[in-house]
Amino acid sequence: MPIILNEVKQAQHIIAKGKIGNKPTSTLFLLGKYYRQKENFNREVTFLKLNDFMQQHYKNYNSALWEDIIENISKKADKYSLREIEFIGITQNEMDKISETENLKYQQLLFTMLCYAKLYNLISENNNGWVNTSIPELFKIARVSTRYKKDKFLYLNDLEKAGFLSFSNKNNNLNIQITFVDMIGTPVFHICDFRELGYEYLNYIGNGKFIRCSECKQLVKKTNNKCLYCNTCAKEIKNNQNKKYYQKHLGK
Amino acid sequence: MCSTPLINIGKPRVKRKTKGIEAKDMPDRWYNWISNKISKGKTSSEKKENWLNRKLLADKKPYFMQYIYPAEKAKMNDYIKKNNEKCIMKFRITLDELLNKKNKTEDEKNFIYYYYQGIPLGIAPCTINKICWKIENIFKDRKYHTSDNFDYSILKSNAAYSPRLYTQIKKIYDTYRHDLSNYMQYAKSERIKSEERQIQKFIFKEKFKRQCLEHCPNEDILCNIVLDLCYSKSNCSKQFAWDICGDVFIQNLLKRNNYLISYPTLDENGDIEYSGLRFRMNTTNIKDMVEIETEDTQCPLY
Repeated sequence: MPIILNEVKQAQHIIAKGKIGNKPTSTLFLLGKYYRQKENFNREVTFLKLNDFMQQHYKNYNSALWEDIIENISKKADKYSLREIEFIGITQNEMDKISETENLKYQQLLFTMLCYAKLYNLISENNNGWVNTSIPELFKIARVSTRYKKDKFLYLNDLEKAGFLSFSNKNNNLNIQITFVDMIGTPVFHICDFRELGYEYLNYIGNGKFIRCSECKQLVKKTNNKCLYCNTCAKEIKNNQNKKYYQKHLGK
Repeated sequence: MCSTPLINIGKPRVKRKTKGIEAKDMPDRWYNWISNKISKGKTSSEKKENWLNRKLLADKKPYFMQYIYPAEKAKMNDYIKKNNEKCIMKFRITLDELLNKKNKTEDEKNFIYYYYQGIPLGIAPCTINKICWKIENIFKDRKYHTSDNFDYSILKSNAAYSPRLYTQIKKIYDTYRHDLSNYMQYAKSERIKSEERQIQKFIFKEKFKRQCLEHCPNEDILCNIVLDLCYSKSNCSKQFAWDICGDVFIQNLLKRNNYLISYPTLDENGDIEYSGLRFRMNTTNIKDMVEIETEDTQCPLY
């Protein structure tokens, strides 16, 4: 599941729309946290609420199979704090530092890593700019592709030599520390969505045309003038349209 | 330290109960670094003992045990992979290249030192380890080629099916995969034992088989549909197809080969040599031994 800045808003949205998504356990955990920490329900009521939610929205729901999972979630949901961050602010100093490197792929990477570093700095005071995310995921969110798997690490080596980041001392620890995080300055750019950070950066600098999906608000590259949705939402809408058509004309 | 009794290497794995006597736990000073902290010793003799224990500690299984315990192999592979990636990040060369490099810098030497310090398995040059390395060296450049060009039609029956039936079975199959995937996620997070997981997987499979047979009682048709579901895309599990329709596949293969099977028998003058013995291939017809079931595949229901 991608990073969610404002888990309260996301939980309310899920409850309103009834969308379980591709990872039901993650969705349940989010709702569990919301019920326990925002609505202040106890364990038993949270269990019932989650069970009802699944009953209404999960296809072929078998309560016996999910009982243990939901009970576990209801029990642990108050141990992990609910995140309520409105945005991650990027300062002009940071943007200037990123644009010191001329390679656009490197800029996208640095921007993505900076966003992650700032998020974890907000979550924990002692984070100090560490990006505790796997490297393949960073490249995926930054929309940076490489021809060979090894090239990812060569890119990071280039950025380290240029002084933008540093590595952990431990041999088998691949975490990265951003050296130019500015938590004090005035933000010039707000990030509210962590799904397409590469595109967010390109959109900000005016490189390429982008739109926000009308359904899920994800940033999407504009391929034609009629583009309104992201691929996932477009498929879902098309399926629903087809269903309605078959129901109307074939009477099923 | 390969001279240590094998069952006692690393953390205690099994409580041995022989003739009703419960074995005592191994003292943690035998395998745990932290229990032998020198600063923990109050007197100088205790500190000396802790220092000596640290030299003799059986904290790691020997290198060759990765081929006995899959978890150790996974740990080792993960360790090597991360070190390799870190090596590329720091020095722009792979770990193998760094180890074989002639003039190393101070940083590189430190990296290699900590690489060997942190290896999860013992790499002392005991006899079995040396044998293991020799065998690895011989096979290191050989690659196992999976043949993706396997023609799965040899497993098929002579039965046609309608696209509607295929769609119905595919829906059930997708639900099965979805449920199984959710269960495996749950099992991983809850650390459910492998036996319980196997039982649950078996339950899912039986449920799927029952649902499929409700829609399609003809096993030959079901066999063809399952083959197309599993073999047409390379990333689907083939084991699943064999679990559901394995006996039908065997029947089909026998039919194609006129119920002739070939098997090796021990023969001093045989042309096949294996494990110091000689064998000869024999062929026999097992048509009489096999119960042949014929089904009406022209049934208009499908």
